[in-house]
Amino acid sequence: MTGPGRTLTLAVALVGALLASAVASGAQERSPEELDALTKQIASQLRCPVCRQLSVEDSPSDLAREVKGVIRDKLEEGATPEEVRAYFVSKYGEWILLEPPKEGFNLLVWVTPLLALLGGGTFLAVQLTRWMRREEDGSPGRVNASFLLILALALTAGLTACGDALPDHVKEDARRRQLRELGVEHVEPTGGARRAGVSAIRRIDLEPLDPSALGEDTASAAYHRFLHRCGACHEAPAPSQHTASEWSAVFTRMHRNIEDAGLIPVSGPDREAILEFLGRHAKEK
Amino acid sequence: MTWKKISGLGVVLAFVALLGFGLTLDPSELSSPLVGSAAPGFRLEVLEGGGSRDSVGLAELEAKGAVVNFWASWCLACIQEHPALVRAWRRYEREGIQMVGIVYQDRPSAARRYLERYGGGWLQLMDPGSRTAIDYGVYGIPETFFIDSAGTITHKHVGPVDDQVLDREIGRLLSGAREAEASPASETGMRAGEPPDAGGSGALGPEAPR
Repeated sequence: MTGPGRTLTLAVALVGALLASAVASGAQERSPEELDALTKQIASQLRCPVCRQLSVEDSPSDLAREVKGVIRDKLEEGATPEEVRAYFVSKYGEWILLEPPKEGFNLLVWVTPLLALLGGGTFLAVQLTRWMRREEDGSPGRVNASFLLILALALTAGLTACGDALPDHVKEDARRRQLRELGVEHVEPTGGARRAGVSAIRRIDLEPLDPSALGEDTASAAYHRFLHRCGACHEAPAPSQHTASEWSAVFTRMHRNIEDAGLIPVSGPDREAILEFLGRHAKEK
Repeated sequence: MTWKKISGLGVVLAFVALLGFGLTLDPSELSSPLVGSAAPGFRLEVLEGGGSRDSVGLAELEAKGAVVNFWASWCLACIQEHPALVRAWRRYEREGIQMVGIVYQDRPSAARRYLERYGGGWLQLMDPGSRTAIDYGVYGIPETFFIDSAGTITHKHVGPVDDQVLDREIGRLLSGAREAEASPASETGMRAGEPPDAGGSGALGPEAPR
């Protein structure tokens, strides 16, 4: 017999012997190691009847220990893992399984989180795309304030953590740059950067200014004071957004921000000019 | 736009309804799959109250019905329910109801002391390794099973039983036994329940040799 032929015969014989032994061991006995592993596997799928939130494998309770003993005994007697699980379900009911079977009413448990994740993701994607499209149009438009709030809440934790991790000089640089971009050269503000940031976010909810609605008033000095001062930290709003008396309150509130941020206060004449201008174009009561 | 709002609202309402439905359920109240099926068989050593016998099997209990109570001396709720069990025993034993106590995870000496202190002379069995308790799906004692003359579990009570539950369930057992006697076709006696449910496979049977 040639070399390769002999090898082949040997291989066939070996495989045959292995198969035979595998079949025999599968039907008959499992090694102690196999039994241990199987017992552990089944025990980790069963709920401990006493403590409920732990598996039989993890539970320190006496009953869990006894349950493990039962699992092992049944395996030794030749039961399949499915039969062992079915035994406990027949005695305790389905709740004994830590993972509810993927069928019937239980499917909800498996499918709902997935659907919620998909739904939430789609919602975010749609809203963000819309938002970005508006930005591209050049009209910031109005974004749902509650959506912004949700987004801000979702991001805050992460952003704060990132911000705190930055070295101080980087944070200081970023603050100065931010202020410069906002047209503010005058500084040592206390908490000003933060407030300016808040205003910058808030501007998105402002009704944008439409100069054509103001007619010839866009040539007035008051208009330019308004643009210069009110448009420094946030976009200049449409005067028609509020009534005259509302504007007075808004101005007071905004001026408090200016003071807090350490910016140059609005002088008395400027203040009157701006409020007069706003009053001319304000919303009727 | 409107259909979007309506469908969105529908999803939210469905979810809220689902959660609301969940609120009406008590997660600690677990219905036993054993109610309505044959009581698992057992052969256990007698602690006391078994007369001359060393061990007793479920099939030997010739009675119009049985009340099987899992308890332990360390279980406070068991002490609470014990007087009701004593009353039921005095009242129903002569009517043919067999009361069985199965001691759960306890030492025989402690169980004996408990019985000396709180009384009760019904059949008491030891369940080392809790095999019978697991067969009955016991998760927290006291648990009480009501078994009819055909060997079927008619009711399971979790927590301390009271006179009301005992009277009602034992009453059902007795009336069931009377009906069985009245109809000649059906057998009477606990033997009718043999062989006890063993999960379908001989290898899984509680009476299989270990």
